[in-house]
Amino acid sequence: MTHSRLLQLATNDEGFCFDPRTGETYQLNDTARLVLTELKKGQSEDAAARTLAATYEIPLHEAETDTQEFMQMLRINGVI
Amino acid sequence: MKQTKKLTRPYSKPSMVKLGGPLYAKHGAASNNSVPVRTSISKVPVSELAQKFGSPLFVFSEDAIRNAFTNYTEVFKRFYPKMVFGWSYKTNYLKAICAIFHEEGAIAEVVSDFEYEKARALGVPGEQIIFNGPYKPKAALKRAIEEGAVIHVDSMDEIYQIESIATEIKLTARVGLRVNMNTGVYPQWSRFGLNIESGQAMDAARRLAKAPGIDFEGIHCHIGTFMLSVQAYEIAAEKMANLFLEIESDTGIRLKYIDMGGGFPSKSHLKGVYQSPEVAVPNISEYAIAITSCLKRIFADSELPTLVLEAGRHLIDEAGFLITSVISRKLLPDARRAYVLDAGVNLLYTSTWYRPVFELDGDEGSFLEPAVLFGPLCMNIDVVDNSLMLPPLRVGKRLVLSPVGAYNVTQWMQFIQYRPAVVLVRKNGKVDLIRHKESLEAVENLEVLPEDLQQKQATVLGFKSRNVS
Repeated sequence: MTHSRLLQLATNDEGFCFDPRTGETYQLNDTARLVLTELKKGQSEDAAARTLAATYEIPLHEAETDTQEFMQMLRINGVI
Repeated sequence: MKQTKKLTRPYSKPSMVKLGGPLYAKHGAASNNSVPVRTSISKVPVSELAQKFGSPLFVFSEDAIRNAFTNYTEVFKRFYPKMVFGWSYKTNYLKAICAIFHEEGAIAEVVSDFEYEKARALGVPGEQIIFNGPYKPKAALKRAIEEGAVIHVDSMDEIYQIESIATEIKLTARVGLRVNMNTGVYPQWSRFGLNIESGQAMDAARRLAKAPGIDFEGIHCHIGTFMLSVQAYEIAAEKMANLFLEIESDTGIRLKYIDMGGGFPSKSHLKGVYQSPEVAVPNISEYAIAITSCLKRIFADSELPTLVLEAGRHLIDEAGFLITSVISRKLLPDARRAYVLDAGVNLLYTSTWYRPVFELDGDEGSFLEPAVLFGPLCMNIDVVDNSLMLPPLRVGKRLVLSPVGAYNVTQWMQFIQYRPAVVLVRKNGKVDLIRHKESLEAVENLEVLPEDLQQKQATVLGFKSRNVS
């Protein structure tokens, strides 16, 4: 399920991210931008992790762990 | 199946950093978005060292040691040729390290019976040993007297003890007097030796001058450690020179040397010092000029005494590196990234006071996030660094910490973990193992298990072992 708040985030190709709900700004790295893009498309976290693993040719378990951590970052920062 | 475009650029874990915080320095400019990279130590690849000898691994550079010693001695001798250099064993007493300093011409400066025995076992003659320290057991004092080492007395009690031993074995002990003084720095080191301002030092000197079995040869001080104040050495040199002359006028004994000890800083970053070491740490020539100018001024009309120096940290710290690897990572509740390394405070005793430089063994990009580095100990205090900016790191990534050559491989702990191997990169590029990684046998070698406790299986309630055939 897509987090509705993710759809509100404004991001650009440089990884700059603005959260209009809080006024906070963030810098994302390339892989975070990829995961966020997948999530905003409506992909699940697992699917986003699979895309991450395939794109960078890393083990799926590593991509899943890293995606989970990124979701934790979003929660801790109050984005979702 | 959906085709995914594969990328060739290296993987970095997804990360986000809130802007307006740590990425900006106080003047509003973006902070330096890079972490230094070190791919080799003395031209030997870090990856090669770690693969061959394991991680963590202490690495010393022979070139760096010899260059540091040459630079230091040449600077001082340029101003004051009549010098003797003692290598401070407690800073790093690995045999290979000490052997290099002795080969370069340093005598041994030891502070315990253990260090005295190490120096002798390495082949250093007794008369080339300065024996410092607040506790020298009777047997060690007797051996030092017999072998002609110079003993720097720390207290009146030690003077009486040396008199007694020398009389008993009918030999003359070579003795120097350790003194302390106010050099204008805080805290004043007053626990070692006898105080100049209160008159204790002169009282001790009078005793040494007339003591049976004692050849009173010199005076010694050591005003502190990681001393950033050049002026403190100038004050100390003046007080030492005046004490030297007062002893001569009072007792008639012309001493042979003034030993100014050590305490010269390395390019390590002392915690609490705002400026970088490149700015905060004076050049060694400034110390040399302060000490030698003072001595030459005060002894302008008489023969210069020999100047003895006992540097440690200044000579070895920057020659030592620690290779460590990320073994796991997690996210802390405050969104900081945390890494568990295979080296912790058990190996980095000095990290309590000094912050090493953290270098990566390869470029991980310029996206930096706040990170914490934990060691491998099952102890909450095992924090290698609790606030630094790093790119997201993968498990297995290596970091190189430096300077860590001083005190860590003498004050490290065998706690929970085996202490790692130590290697020396030689001048010809060869890598020599100079200390094995510890083994269970080595660690338990001194333990004794009483016979009645041997070969008994533990009876554990609630746990059933698997049947193992």
